Amino acid sequence: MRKAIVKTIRIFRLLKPAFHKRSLMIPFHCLLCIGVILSDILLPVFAIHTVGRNRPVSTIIFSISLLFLCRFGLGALERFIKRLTQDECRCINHRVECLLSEKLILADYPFLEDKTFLDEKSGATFSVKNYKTIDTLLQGLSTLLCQAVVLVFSGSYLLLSHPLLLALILTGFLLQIMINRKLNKTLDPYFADLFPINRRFRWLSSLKLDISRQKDIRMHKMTELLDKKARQYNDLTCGIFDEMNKITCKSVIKTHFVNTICMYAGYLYNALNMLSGNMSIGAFLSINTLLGELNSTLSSIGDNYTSCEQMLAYLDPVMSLLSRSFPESGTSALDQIETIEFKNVSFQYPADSRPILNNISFKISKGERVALVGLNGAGKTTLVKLLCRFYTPTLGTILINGVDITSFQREQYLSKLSVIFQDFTLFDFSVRENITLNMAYSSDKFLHAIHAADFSLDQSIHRNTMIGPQTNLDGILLSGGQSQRLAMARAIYRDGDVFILDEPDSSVDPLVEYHLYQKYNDITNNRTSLFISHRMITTQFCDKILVLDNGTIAAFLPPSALLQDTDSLYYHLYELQKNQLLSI
Amino acid sequence: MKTITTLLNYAFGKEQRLPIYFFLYTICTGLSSLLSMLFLQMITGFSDNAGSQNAELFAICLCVGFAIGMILAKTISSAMYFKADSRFTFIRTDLQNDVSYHIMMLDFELIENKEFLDQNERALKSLESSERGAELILKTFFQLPGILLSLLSGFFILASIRLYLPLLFIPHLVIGLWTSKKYVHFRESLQRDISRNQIQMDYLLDTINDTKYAKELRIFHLRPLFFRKLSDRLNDLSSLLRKEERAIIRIHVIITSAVFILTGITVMSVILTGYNANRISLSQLAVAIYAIINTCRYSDELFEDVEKIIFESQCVKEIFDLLNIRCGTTASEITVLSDSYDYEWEVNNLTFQYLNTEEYALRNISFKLRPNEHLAVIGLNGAGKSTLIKCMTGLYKNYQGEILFRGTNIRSVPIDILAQHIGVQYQDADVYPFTIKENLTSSSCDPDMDRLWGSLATVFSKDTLQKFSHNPDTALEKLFDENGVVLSGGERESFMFARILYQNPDSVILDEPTAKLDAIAEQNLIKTLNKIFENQCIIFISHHLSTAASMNRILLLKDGALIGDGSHQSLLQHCSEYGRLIDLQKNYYV
Repeated sequence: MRKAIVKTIRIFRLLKPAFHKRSLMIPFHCLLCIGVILSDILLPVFAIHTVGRNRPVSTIIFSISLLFLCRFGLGALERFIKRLTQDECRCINHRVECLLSEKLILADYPFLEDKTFLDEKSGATFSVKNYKTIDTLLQGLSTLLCQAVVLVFSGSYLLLSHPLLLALILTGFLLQIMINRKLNKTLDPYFADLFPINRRFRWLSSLKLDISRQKDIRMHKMTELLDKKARQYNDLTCGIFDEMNKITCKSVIKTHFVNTICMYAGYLYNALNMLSGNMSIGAFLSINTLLGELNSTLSSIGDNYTSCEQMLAYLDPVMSLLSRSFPESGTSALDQIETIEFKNVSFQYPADSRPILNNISFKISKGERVALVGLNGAGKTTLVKLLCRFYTPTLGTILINGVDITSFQREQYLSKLSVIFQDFTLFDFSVRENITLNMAYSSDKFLHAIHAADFSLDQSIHRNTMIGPQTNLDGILLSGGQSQRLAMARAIYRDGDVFILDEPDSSVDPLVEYHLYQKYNDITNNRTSLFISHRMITTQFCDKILVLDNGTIAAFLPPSALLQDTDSLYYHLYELQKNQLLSI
Repeated sequence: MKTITTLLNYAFGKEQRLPIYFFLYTICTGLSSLLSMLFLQMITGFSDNAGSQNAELFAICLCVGFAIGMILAKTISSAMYFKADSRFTFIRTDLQNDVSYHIMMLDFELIENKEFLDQNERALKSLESSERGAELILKTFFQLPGILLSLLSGFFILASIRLYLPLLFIPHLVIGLWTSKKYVHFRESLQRDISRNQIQMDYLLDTINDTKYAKELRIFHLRPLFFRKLSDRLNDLSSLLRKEERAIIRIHVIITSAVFILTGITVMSVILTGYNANRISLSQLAVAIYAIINTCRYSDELFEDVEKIIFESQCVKEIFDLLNIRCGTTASEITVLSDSYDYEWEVNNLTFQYLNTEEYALRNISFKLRPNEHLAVIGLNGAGKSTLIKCMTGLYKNYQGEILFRGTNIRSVPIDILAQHIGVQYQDADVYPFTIKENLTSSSCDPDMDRLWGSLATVFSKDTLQKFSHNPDTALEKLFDENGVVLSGGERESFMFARILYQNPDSVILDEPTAKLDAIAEQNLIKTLNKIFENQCIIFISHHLSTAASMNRILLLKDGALIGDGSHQSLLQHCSEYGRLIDLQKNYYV
């Protein structure tokens, strides 16, 4: 109990930014709820009391009408505020989702390949998004608060007037708690079973709207297999549900039994008291209502407490994610990138035993055009990731202008890079936003960028056209070539000191590819550039070529010098591709 | 109303015992609320004749009797409730499966259309939740008669005081139901905006959470942009919700409460006047107050449930409409393809236009393929290569012209018959997270082991094969099996090719299967392809002209039209566009 309270306080402290002024609606709703319940208990007593005093009819009618007015006015207000509270809880839940996302975006890149972090991440987002934990917890807590107040009020009233009744009710309550405890223990393993099954069933069910899968399903006749699997999992899930419901049902019946007996024993006690003249009819009615209210509160407070406890448990990953902090590395300002130097750099992924890069040293000076070539898995992409500071080298250092890369302020350093990744993404925003991203919009720069990237605007695509038909109502889908050009325009608009292009030619047709290299100088604006390519011929116009072989540097020379060495990997690949093309 | 009947028919069809649960549950809940009201009335009735003989004994009997009655009623009703509850989930998920199955049987063209998704997204989403759509309606409907009976038991008490008292509540009920309906209509009009907003918010959050985008989010420092957009969406959501709240207070809360308060006061005045004239006892007065409070509580519940049902029935209607869309195959179905034919493929004047576009994706394309021809289809991005493949594999049917496979018009061939003869690998194909066996054979039946390992050995090195530990039940990916094998991008592509090898079809159609492979791996794949399917028909889409040139025939598409058809040599001589493309790449070397 104490633990739960401490935890709740910690959660609210962490989630503080998600609460706004409007969130005060929640405690207000609590107060209203208490008001409604108390008025339900007290109103009949009042009414009967008034009637019993033999006042003139008109006064009685007036006062009772007034009471009714208050009661139902309060009820209507409560219902309305309840609705507002629900909406507010929903918004808070969304805000917490945003808080979590903010943490994720701040996380250092290596965390995204760390299994414990990923589990925590998916646990946290799943709990907030799918279980609506925050929403449920807030509503649960406010109900709990109401129940506690009712409990204290009616409990203390009974304690003063009829302690015997209180003892009776409490006995019933204790029995119920025992029954519930046992139930929860029995149900826990079932929940654990359900989790992976649900995930699988959800995946199977998501296939129906996956267009690229649907093509494959039709042509490879997967329909029956998928249907069979989905139904199997359905039977499995519902089998577990049946079992769980059977168990729950048994204990609910037990609770009802205990409950009803306690209640009617209480009624009998009251009735006998009234018959012996110890209790007025008003008191009799109100105590009966009190009893009913107390009983239903006690029986639901247990459930509510358990569900709050469960929500708190679901919030564990959320809390640990939110309380993580990612210190900003480096503080020095960077004016311009002049030189890039790798000094004895080795790198291996934390989860991997094999080093990807092995003792690599090279230096790129300002304005140099460098191509990076090698077979699949030679370490090209890793090298780029190191340069983008997604990772830090396991050994050795990377120097920018002769200073360790980690000493620079990360954001500022990254703003000096214009990068196009092989698997670049266009976001479902407008064309303009996709190009300018977080930078300020300038019309001249924008026009220059789209012109240099050969991206043409016309009636069908203008700068405010939205991309992404799934997300936006009039969103369009760009073709592969158009997307590539847009990504190119994005890099140009950034206007970095260093251009890094990761296989910009892999998914484009020969024409686009040709234009790309024709305009290479326009695009990179004669800045330092590093580009990865599978096609040796397109690296010919570079000043130097860095050949990676199995994590080591095989050569770092101008293309002409490389082609003279007939034993080199570069020469081998070059000839292979040349012959393929020239033989045709 | 019709929707609910359809849903109930569907549910009762799936679960025959449901009506019994329903009946017993209703009776017992009604009984328990009637019992508690009756008990209250009888026991307060004592106060009027307190002091009479045997009153105490009678009170004991009453309490014991009612307690037993209550326990019985509650036991039965909760047993029925829990029995029905898990069945509701089953019915909902089974409906979900039916819908999935049905969608898989629908024409691909239909489901690919954006409008299809727009129209059905909300309905399909509602099926995923137990708190929405079909399951919610079933649950609510199940409890509705119980609420009605509880309401009636309150009326019963009032009627026992004055027969006409319950009638006074009729305007309240009528107006309440009317405002519920009105409010639902208003809510529906807002729903579109709300769900669009939700989609955009989900997109933003999913993009941030997906590690796939992590690199770009960091390198471009996109945090401010994304969070500005997120807070815009949140503000939109709040203002939409506020609109809804205003509607609630305007049409719902104020009108219904006003009517109820008026009715309550009228009823109370009648009773009080009666009490004053000594025609109504104090206990009757007390019970009447309870009855009124109960009426208020239950009528609120009733309106809320009716709202839920009306609101959710729209989704359910859409689901059943979806299930009623007829599956696409035509009346004159051909199930066996003829053996006598001259050409493996004959495409005559094929013209195709995507829905809602003005330009033609394919224009008047004709060609014929002999059974052993190896064809490469080339062209710039957007030339129509993938569209041609989708027409030829029967995914698209709304084309003009004819496509004959082995002399039979594929329009009249069901897609599963066609799939027996054609092995296709689409551009964006990916492995399924199932076992190797299921991935290769598309079924869980026992496969031909030699062929299975043979096709895997063709595409994978010994090292990679080791990963599968020689067990056809090894799973790929970790979703369905914790011990599943995770393949890299290149390995996936190779695995997809192994699937075609296992299938050993008459015609092989591959859409850029080498995009993720390096030069050496690509060359190997082309060699294997040409060797293994030497006597079969191959249709191969590629960007790389060198790959295309190794096929014995090439089709060149430009803007949806066929501008070159022939061997590499003949195209070099007769097709200027082809020569231009070749030169573009060769130029580098000169």
